[in-house]
Amino acid sequence: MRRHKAFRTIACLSLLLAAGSLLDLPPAAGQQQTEKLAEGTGSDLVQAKCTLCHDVGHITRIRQSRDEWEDTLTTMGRRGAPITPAEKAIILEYLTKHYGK
Amino acid sequence: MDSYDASSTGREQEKKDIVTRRVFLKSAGRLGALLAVGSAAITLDAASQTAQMPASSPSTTPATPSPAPPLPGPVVSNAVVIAEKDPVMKVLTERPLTANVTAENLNDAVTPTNRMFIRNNLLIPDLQAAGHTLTIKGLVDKPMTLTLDDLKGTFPAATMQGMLECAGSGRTAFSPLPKGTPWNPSGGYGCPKWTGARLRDILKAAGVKPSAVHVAFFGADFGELPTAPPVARSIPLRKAMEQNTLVAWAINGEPLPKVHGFPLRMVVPGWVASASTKWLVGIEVLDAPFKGTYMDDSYRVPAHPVAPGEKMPKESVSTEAWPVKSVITAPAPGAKFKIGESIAVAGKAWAGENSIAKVEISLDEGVTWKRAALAKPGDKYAWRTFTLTVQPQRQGYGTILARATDSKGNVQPIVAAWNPLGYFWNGIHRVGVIVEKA
Repeated sequence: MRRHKAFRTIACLSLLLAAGSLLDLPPAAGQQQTEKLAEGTGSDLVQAKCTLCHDVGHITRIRQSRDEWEDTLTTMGRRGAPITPAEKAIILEYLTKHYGK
Repeated sequence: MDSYDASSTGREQEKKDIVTRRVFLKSAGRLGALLAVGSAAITLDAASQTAQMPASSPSTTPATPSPAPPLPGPVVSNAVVIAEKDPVMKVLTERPLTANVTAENLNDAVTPTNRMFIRNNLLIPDLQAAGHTLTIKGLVDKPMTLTLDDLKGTFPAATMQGMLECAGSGRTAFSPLPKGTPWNPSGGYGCPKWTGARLRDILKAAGVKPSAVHVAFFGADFGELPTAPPVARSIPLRKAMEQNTLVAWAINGEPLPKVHGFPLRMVVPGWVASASTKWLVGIEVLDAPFKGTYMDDSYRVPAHPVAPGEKMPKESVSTEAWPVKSVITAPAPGAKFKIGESIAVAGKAWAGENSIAKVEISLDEGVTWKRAALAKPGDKYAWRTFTLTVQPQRQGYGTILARATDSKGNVQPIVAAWNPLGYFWNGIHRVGVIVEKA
């Protein structure tokens, strides 16, 4: 799966660049595309795991308490998110710090 | 109705194939196809991921593709889906794909297919009509597996206009903003005509056992990860047996587009659209509500109202029928008029399991209301068009409000009850216009 994703990522980056250079590329279709995760410990992990299925905007536009983020992560685990307990702890810490309330 | 002619899709757009984003999306789709032999899932979708990479990321050259672990089946890319939609369609999220149009683009009596909203939890499976089957099992006397031809040949076809609306439609009107798809306040909804077999005819043929309580629907969609559970939910038997609950194969007289569930989907009109399972492959009759993450973790609201910002309480209920709601589809926000000029206010109103009793319009932020004219009632779950001609008398910025009342006396609230997952926004719709000197 990792190689699969890496290939997709590379192919799509080149696709984006190629299309962008051929055409006058307008702002991205989904505004969330331009959003970035806040830098900090755990951001790489969040990027790697959460964006398998979600735009970053699903995270960055909301604020949740630690409790609520934990519930969200538990639900995502039930929906097949490949997150180990150790990773969950790091992700929870990151989300609470940067997207807490 | 029996032929599945793929060439009939996208006709509308070819006429209007004008600008930027869609040209890009189409080109991206073609490029993607060239680059991605054997990996149908390469889409603009994934490009959103790459956009997060640091600018210094190396390599813009695709490496020689190594064989990727395949998805369970082919998928339709976002680019292909959006290319078939009207240019007014706005993509809200790419992963998963969600898109809609704003209220002023929903003025048609029947929602055109290319303006029907998109909301997926997972990927869009690229299914074929040939070989597609629907299995009916569980608490039935005669479990069945039907092909599309069996289904169309055995059961009379019914056509009805019916509302579908995402549970989270209008979510961004809630404060604080709950998590989930950021539907704009005018939401994710539409009211096309659906054609299919009545679910009750199928269930009667299968023979529902007396212990039956709920009926669950299963789609053929899948996620990026093999660990993602299927999107499945169930509805009470009484709704399953309602005559407008369809196993549909057509929308507005044409085969379902792939993004809307080709070749078969449930249509459970008036209810949150998550009940209207797309890419339908299975129906199971159960003695209790289906247990699963799309029943138990989401599509729920508190049993008793909670303060804005609170967590989901222990006592919660599954979302079912939508409450009374209306939207103004004309004039568009920001439209300009002269003092005394006639403004044709128009819109749509709907009420889940109930019918619309009246719609009123206010030009003074709700101090006074005038009753709008209602179009004749159509099908049970179709929205009602309302109209009222008004003449603004004051110069400057003014607002138009619409408020619907249903047959049970329920009135649209100013602000809908906040809930942790942001469902059922039905607050009064408000459109601002500019009135200039005559």
